[in-house]
Amino acid sequence: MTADSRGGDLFIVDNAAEGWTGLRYLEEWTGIAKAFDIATGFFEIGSLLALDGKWQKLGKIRILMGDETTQRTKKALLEAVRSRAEAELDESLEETKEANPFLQGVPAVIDALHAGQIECRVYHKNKFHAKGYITHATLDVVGSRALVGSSNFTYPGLTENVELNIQVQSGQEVAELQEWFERYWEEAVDVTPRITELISRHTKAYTPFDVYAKALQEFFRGHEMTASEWEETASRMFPKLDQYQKEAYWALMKIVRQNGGAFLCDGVGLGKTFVGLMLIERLTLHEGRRVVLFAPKGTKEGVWEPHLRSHLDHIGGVGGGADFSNLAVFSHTDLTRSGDFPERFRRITELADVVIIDEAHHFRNRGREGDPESGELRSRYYRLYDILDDTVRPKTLFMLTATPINNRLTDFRHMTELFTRRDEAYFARTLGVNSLTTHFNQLEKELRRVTGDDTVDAGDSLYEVQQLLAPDRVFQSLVVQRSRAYARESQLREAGTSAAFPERKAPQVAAYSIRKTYGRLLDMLEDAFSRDHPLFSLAIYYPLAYYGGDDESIDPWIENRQRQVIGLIRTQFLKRFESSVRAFELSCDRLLRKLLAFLEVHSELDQEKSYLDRWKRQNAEVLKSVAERQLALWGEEELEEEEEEEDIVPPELLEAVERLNRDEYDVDLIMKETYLDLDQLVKFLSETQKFQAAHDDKLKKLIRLLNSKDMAGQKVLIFTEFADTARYLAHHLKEAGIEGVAQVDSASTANRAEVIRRFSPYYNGSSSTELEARGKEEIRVLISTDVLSEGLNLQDACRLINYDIHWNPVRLMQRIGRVDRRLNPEVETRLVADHPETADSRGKVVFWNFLPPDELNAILSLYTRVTQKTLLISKTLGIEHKKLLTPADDYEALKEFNQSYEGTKTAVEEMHLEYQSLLQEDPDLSRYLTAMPGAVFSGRKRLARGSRGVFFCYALPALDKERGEFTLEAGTTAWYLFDADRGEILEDPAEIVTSIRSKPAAPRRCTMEQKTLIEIRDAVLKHIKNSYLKRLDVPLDAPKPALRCWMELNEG
Amino acid sequence: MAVDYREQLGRIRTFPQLVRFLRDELDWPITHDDFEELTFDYAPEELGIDAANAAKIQEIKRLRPLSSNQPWGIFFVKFEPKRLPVVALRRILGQVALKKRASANKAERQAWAADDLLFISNYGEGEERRIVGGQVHMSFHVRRDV
Repeated sequence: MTADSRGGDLFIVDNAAEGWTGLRYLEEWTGIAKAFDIATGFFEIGSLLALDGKWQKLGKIRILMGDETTQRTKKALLEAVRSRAEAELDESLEETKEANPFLQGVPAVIDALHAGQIECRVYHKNKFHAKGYITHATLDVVGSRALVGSSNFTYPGLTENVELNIQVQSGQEVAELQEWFERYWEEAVDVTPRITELISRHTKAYTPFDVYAKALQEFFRGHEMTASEWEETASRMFPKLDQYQKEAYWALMKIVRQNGGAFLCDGVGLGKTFVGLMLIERLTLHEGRRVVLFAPKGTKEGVWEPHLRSHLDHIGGVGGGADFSNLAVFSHTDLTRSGDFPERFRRITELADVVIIDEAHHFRNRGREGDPESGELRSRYYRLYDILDDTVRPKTLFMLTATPINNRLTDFRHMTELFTRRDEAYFARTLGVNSLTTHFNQLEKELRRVTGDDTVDAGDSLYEVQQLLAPDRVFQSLVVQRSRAYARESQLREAGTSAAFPERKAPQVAAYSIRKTYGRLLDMLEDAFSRDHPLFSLAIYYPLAYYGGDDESIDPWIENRQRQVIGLIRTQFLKRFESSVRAFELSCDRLLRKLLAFLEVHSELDQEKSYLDRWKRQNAEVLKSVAERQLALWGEEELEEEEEEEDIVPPELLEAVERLNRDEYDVDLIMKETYLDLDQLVKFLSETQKFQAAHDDKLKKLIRLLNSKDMAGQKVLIFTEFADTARYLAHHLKEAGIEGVAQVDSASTANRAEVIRRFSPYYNGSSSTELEARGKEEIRVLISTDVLSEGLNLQDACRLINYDIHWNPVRLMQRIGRVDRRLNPEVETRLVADHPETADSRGKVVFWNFLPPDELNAILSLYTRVTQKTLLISKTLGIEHKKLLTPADDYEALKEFNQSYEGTKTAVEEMHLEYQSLLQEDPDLSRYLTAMPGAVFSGRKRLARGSRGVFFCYALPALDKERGEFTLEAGTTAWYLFDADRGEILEDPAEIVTSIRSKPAAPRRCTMEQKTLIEIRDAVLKHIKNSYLKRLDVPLDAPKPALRCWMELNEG
Repeated sequence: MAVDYREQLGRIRTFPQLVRFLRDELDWPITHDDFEELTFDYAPEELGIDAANAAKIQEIKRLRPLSSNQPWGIFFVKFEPKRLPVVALRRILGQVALKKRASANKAERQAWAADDLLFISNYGEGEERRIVGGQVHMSFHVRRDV
C-alpha cells in the first residue's frame, strides 16, 4: 500500500515491495467477492494458479482480452489477438511445468471453463489496450470496486513488474466502468472453448503410444520435413525421388546448414546421383546460389552430364535450354591441370557458394601441400582446400561417397577438414568434440583394440568400422547413410514394392587351378614366402634398417612407414600372382628395374660398377623378353595421372630413392641384399617366360564361362584389379573368338564415356539402334579395372565376373553396385522391347567369383604370412576354410555376405521405418503429434523385456553457427531412460526403444508417486547438465533443455 | 575511480557467496540463483587426478559460460585440508590447459589457454576457511587473492 497508507483517497497498487501487489489485492477480494470482470491484454495460467483455492469461491470470472496489434481487417485483428492470447497462455503453461510438471491446480481451471465459471472473450473491433479489474462483493453493502491501470492478468503483472493501478471506489464511477466493460464484452468474441481446448491439451491423460510416437517424431525431426510449395510444384527432381531419397535430401540440407558440410554415404546403387541432382536444382534455382560440382572424369561424362541434360536442362550449366547457369561442372583431375584452370578456380573461389563432390573418397588423402620454391606441386586435395577457402567467400560442401572409409578412419577426418578448415574445435559447441584429431585418433585406437591388429586396414574390417562409427557423434551428425536393406524396406512400405532394386542371385564360383596354370612357379613362390626371411629383403625401401649413424632422433613413424612399404610390395606381388601370370611378370620386371636403378646410383667403386655390368649382361635375355611382352600389352602408353596409381607401391608411400651416405648406412649390405632380390626376380621371370596362355586354366575357364548358356546374349562385366590382367584378358578373349570385347583401365586412351555408352546404352541415354545408326559397335563383354567400379550406370548388364580374389570388400561392393542398382522402369521397358531375349534375366543380378578351391588355403596362408594379419574378408565373403560362395557349400557364409552387402538395418533405421509406418497408418498422426504441448506425460506397465524406470525425451540446444547463438533448433533430440533397477541413466536409443515401444491400444497406467517422478526428472536434468551441456559448454543464456515427453515404466 | 572491494571480498566464505558478489556488485550477467545450475561438475577421475590427490578434493566445479564463445573459464575447487594442495591444482591445470599439439588435447573436454583460466579455491577449516583465486601456472603460484 502506498498512498492509502498515508490516509489519502488515492489507492495505488504498484507491486512495490512495501505496498500492495495486484495479487494480494485480488486475493483479498476473492474472500468477499462473488465475481470478477477483468480487462487485460492476455492472461497467464500463473495468475490463476497463484489464486488457487481462492478464485474457486467466485461465482464468475469474465476475462476480456484485447491487444494493440495493428491489423487491416477485424478478422485479422481477431486472429492476431486470439493467437497472441493463446500463445501467451500456452507459454505460461509450459513455464509452469518446470516447477509444477503435473500442473496442479490447472484441472480446476478447466472445470471452471467448462462450467462457465470462467469465461473468456476477445475484443477485435479495434485496438484494445485496457487493463482493469472490477470486483463485485457478495454483500451489497460492500458493493463493487474497480482497479484500473496497467497490470495484465499475469503473474508478473500482478506481482513483479512496477505497475500503476488505481482503485476506483465511487459507486457511480464503478457503475460507469461496469457499463463500459459490458459494452466491450458484448462486442467481443467468445474464445472460452478454444482456451479450454488449449489448456486441456496440457492436462490430457496421454497414452503410452502418444508419448512413444511423440518421442519418435522428435528423434527424427529434420528427416520428416514437409515438402515446400516449391518442391511440390516447381521442382522437376522432387517427384522423381523415392521417400528415402527425399529424406536424404532434407537431412543433407539440415546438416549443411548446421555444420557447413555434409556427407551422403548411402550404399552403392541407391541413387545418390539423384539426391545430388535434387540438391543442385534446389540450390541453383530455388536459392539462387552458385554451385560447383566435381566428379571423376568418367562419372562426369558418363553420368552427371547426361543426367543434368535429361533431368535438369532448365538450369543450364551443361548444355540444356537455359542461357544462364549457376552451375559449373569439373572433373576431379581438372584441379591439378594447368592452362586456364588455375584462373578459373581462382574465380570459383571468389564466386561459388556451394561445392558438391561426387566420389568424395578421392579426397581422403591430403597428399602434398606443395612448395613453390622447390617446384613441388600441390596435391588435388590441397587445390580443393584452396577453393573452399571461406575467408574469400563462405561455402558449404556436400560430399557423396559410398565409402567414406577406405583404409583408415582418418580418411573421413581429412574430408571433413575440407570444410572445418582444420579448426580442431569446429564441433566443440555443436557436438562437444574439442579436438577432431584426437577424436579420430581415439577411434583408430579403438579399432586397433577391437581387431587386435596394430596395422589394421579399415577397408578390411568394415564390420568393426561400422560398429565404431554408427554411434559416433561426428559421423552421426555429418553423414546420411542408409543401408540397402533400409532403402528397400522404405520403398516397400511407401509403394508396396521395391521393384526398383534387382534381385541378387547367389554368387557362383568359377573354380580353376593355380597349379595347372603356374606349375613350378607356385612352389617357387611358396618357398620364397616360407623362408625365415621371406621373399625380397627390398633393402632399398627400408634403408633405416641398415642405419649405423649416430642420429638418435629418427622418427619411429618414418621407420614404420618404410617397413610398411615392404609389406605392401610383397602383398601386391601375391595379389598379382593370383590375378594373372602377366600381372605377376610385369611386377617382377618393374621391381627389377627399380632395384637396378638403385644399384646404378650406388655403384661407385670400379669393382661395383663392373659387377653390376656383369649381372646385366648375364640376364640380358630375360630382361629383353619381358620388355617385349610389356610393349605388346601396353604399347608406348604412359599411365595417366587421372586415376589411382596401379603401380606396385602406392605413390604416397614411395619416396624417391635417395643416394645413401655410406658413412651412415651400410650401403654394401644393402647392395648385396639387392642382388639377392634381383636373382630371385630373374628366377621368377625365367619361369614366366615358359608360360603359354594355352595352359592358363583360369583364362580357359573364363572363355568357357563366356560361351556358356548362362552368358549367351548377355552383357558381361569382368572386373580385375590389375590393368596388366585386363589387357591380357582382352587380347586372349578376342583371340578366342568372343565377340564384342572391350577393355578399360586407367591408361586406356579410348573415350571412356563412349565405351560405357556402347556397353550400357540404355542406362546412358542411348540404345542399340542408336549405336548402330552411329556406326558404333555395341560391347557385350567389358573388361575393366576398378576405374569403372564407382558411380557409373552399367545396369544394362546383369552378369558380373570377379576375375581376381576380391581382397578388399569395399571394392567388391562397389563392383557389384555397378549392376546391382536401382532400375528405371521406363528404361527397362525400352530395353526389353529392343531385346526380348533378355526379358527373363532382367531384374536378376548374377555374379561369379573366380576362386582356386585347391590352392585357396595356400594363397590365404601366404597372404597372412606376408601381411602379418589374417585376411578378414571371411566376414564379408565367407571364403575362409574353403567355404566357397555357393549356396550348396555354405549357406551361412552366403547369408553373411548378403547381410553385409545389404547392410543390416540398424536399430535407428528400424525405428525410422516403424515411425514411417505409423505415419502411413494414420495420416493425421503427424499433425496430432506436432500440436502436442511440451512435457507430455504418460505411464505404462513395463514391457516384459523392458526396464522399470522413467523415460525422457529432451530437445537439447547447440550452437547455431549462422546466428552465433545456441538454439534448440540447431540442437538434437536425446532420449534418456532412468533404469530404476540399475540406478543408471541410459542414453542409447537402440536400448531404450525396447523399453518404450507402445501400441496405440497400450493402456495408460500411472502408479509412481509424483514426487518421485519429479526427483528422477531433476536427476536426469542434472545428468544432462554435467554431460551434454558441459561437453558443448552451453552458456547460461542458452535455451534450457526442453522436455518433450516422458513416461513412467512401472510394474503395473 | 576504481572501487575497492577488498573488504567485501574478505567476507566471502563460500562459492555461492562469491557468485552473488559477481552478480550484485560487479554486474555480471548471471540471472540464476542456483549455484548448482550455474556450474558444471567435474569428477577428479575425469580430470585424471590420482586417488591420493582426489581424496583432498571435495568438489570441482566450473562456472558455466555467460555467453557463446566465451574464451575464459573459472574453476571452483573445494579442498578438504587446511593447506592449499598445490599439486592437485597443478594436475587440474595440466588437464584443462590447451596444449600446442592438437592431438594432445582431449576430444571430450574443452581446454583453455592457461592465461584464460582462473582458479578459485576454497580451503581451510571453520573460521579459517577462505577463498583464494588466481591464475595457475605450471610453476604454481597464486597471483592474487580475490
